[in-house]
Amino acid sequence: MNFVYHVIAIIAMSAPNILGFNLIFGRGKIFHFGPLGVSIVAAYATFLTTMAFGSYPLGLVAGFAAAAIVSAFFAWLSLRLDADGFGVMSIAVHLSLLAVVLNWTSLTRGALGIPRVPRFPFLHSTVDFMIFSTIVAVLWAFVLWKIDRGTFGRKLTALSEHEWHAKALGIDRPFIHLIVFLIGGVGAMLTNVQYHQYIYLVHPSDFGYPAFIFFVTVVVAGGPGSVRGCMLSLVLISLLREGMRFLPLSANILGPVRLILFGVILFVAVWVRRDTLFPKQRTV
Amino acid sequence: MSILSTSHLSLSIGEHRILSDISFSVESGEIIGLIGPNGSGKTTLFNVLSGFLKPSTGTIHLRGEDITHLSPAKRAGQGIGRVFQNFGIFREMTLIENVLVALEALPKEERKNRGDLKKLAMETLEMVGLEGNAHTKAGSLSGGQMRLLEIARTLMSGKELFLLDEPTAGVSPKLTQQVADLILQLKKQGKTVLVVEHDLPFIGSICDRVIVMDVGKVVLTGKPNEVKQSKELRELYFGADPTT
Amino acid sequence: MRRAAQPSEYMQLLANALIAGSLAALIAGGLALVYGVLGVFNMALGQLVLFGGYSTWWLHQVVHLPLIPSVLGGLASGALMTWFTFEIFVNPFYKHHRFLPLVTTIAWSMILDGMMLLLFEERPRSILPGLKKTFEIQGARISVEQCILILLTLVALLAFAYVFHRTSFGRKLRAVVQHDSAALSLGINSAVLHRVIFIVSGVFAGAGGIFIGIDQNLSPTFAFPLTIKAYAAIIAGGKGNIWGAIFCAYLIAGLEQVLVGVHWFGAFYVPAGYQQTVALLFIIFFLLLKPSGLFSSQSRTA
Repeated sequence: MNFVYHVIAIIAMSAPNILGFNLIFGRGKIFHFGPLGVSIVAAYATFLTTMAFGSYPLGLVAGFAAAAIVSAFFAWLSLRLDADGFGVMSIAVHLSLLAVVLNWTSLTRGALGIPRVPRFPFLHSTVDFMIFSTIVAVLWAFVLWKIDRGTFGRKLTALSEHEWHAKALGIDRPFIHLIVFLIGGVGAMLTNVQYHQYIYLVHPSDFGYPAFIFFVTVVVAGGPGSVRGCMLSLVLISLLREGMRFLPLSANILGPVRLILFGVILFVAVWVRRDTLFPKQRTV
Repeated sequence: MSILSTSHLSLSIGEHRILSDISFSVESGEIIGLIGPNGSGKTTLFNVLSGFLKPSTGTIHLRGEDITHLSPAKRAGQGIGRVFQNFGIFREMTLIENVLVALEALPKEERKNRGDLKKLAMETLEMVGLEGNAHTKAGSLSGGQMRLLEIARTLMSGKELFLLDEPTAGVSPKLTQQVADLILQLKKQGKTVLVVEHDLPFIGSICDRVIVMDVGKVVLTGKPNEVKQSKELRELYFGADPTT
Repeated sequence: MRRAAQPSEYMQLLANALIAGSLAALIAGGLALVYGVLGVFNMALGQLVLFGGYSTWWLHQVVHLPLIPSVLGGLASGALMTWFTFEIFVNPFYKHHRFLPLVTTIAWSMILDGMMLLLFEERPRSILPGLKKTFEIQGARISVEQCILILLTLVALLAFAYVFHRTSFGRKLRAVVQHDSAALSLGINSAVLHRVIFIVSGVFAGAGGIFIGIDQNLSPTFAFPLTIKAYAAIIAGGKGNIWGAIFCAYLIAGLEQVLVGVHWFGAFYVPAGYQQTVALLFIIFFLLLKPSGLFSSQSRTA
């Protein structure tokens, strides 16, 4: 039974970050391929500060500040570059941040990661985490759903469909981009603060390119931009991923099989959504 | 026999009706002007005629043969030449290469009849006074020069029917006259030309007939003078006439 | 007390740079062709590179074909796989929106990664295992295989350059790359030429993989860094500029060798882990400061 609570907790913890990404990439159609760059900075800033000063509040402030700075940086880049340029650039920024973490070993312990990360004083058991993370996930989903349905969501959609027209209507693109990336940053913090204390470890392998592919798969499969669809596909795909552990396959077969399966899921999802994933363009 | 005719051409994308029931025919040797406000479907009609878009309904006949489902490359083989709104030249190639590639793309028998292609390419450049730039990259030309290059190249490609999409856009007034002369030269050679334009005096000076489009339909056809006087045209372009 | 660098160290750096550069140039050159035509990203490039190498490895080390047929087989399989990628993962999606292939090739890269891990496992595979015999030129140690690879790359690039710039067929290819619609309206069959371009890029990618398999070894983890490096070369060279991409490939590879190979200020070596960041920094620098790349064309935009 504890395993069930564990799975629910993991799914609920990963929700905020993915929902934030869904707003940027799914709704805003912004080719942000570096959300894990925000995550890695948020996680390391939070926990390094917490453990250095023995104070969670201080760690959280540091984490939110760091997440906000990196998010704002991405927002700025998204305004400066054209779509595919920003896509490549965001990957490059993400991988650069990862490289710094891996190589600045005196600060981050590099590939060893940071073990024995402390938990919040009021969270002890798996059930505690499950309840806490579910509440956070539901609240966050509600907030995002409200935003999506409201003025902000409409402006974001207008910008994604036709930038010129949207600007002509007075929609402030720099401001909208800044806000949407900051929302993504908050989502990253919510996920990372919970997840790493739960597993007692901050490790660079959680922030690599494969982790990002999971984000894209969930968002595309769930219907880009839809909060409900995203939550549903997150649950289903996570259950699939966890459920695969029970297959009678050895560990070094399971990993590749999972990769192939997820690749197929992503491919099918894009095929089904090929008309709606990106806004229509005029051709000749 | 008319060289080009369309019958009830329509194009809808999703719920948008972009072209509605377009029917007209063009006689060999005519210069037809195609005018209308922005968004009236002129370029879309060209795209359908040259094969870049498939119509939802209707047919296109070239010299009596149904070409509605031919690809753009095959239509070029049938004798349709196209000049693009955004300069269909190859910017990283030199001027002479730009003409050469057009000549080399001709059907085999025609290519053999032309003889030395490199010499012919040079002559084409001389026709529009660009031979001095033969070995510079086409991307460094001015808009007007690019347009001349494109038209000259199309001229030499032995096509019968020419679709010119806003040939004077981005061209200085002096070069505009050269463009007009080139088009009249085509007529002298017995070629047929359809021109999309916003420059109404330009249309008036070279066209035998004018077709006016609005919201995807043909609303008016006739000789340039007739159309120029018509009230409907004034309303289309300039809004309702305040003096009536 | 600073130690003066020996001339032989520079020669070794140069040799290493040429080897790494040739490899990068093959991969980036093929990709530049494709990117110039479609303006779209192939995120499965690294996997396609490795696939060619693994095919050769399998033919030579498992089926025990002699080296040359194995290499040819590897090139052919690279070409076929790239063509398959185009037909299934790019073409059907490109029609709907030019960025869809970006996501579908990500999916394909995952599938290929999984397949290669299942078939070949993570441990390194070498097409020509064992220590290679090296000899010295001006103080640089280099093996016969490496010399052949460098020379073959140059020959391949020169042959390609000749066809591309001096033949009628090459002109048609360039027309399709530069303005597809205009090429079509001249009667050029651009659909066929698109496939030719994809297959040629597949041969180049496969050649890169075979190079890696001979000179170093093959492991599925190498795939993504290869993709990144190729894109860095394309962006730095100016999108659609094939020779710019090839030049920048040599440049990036060279700088990577210099970064970790030089005893900076006689005081420290840069950790090898930072080698990959050269490509990343290239991307960041150029996209921010000179998006048109090193060799922006002189064309006027108005």
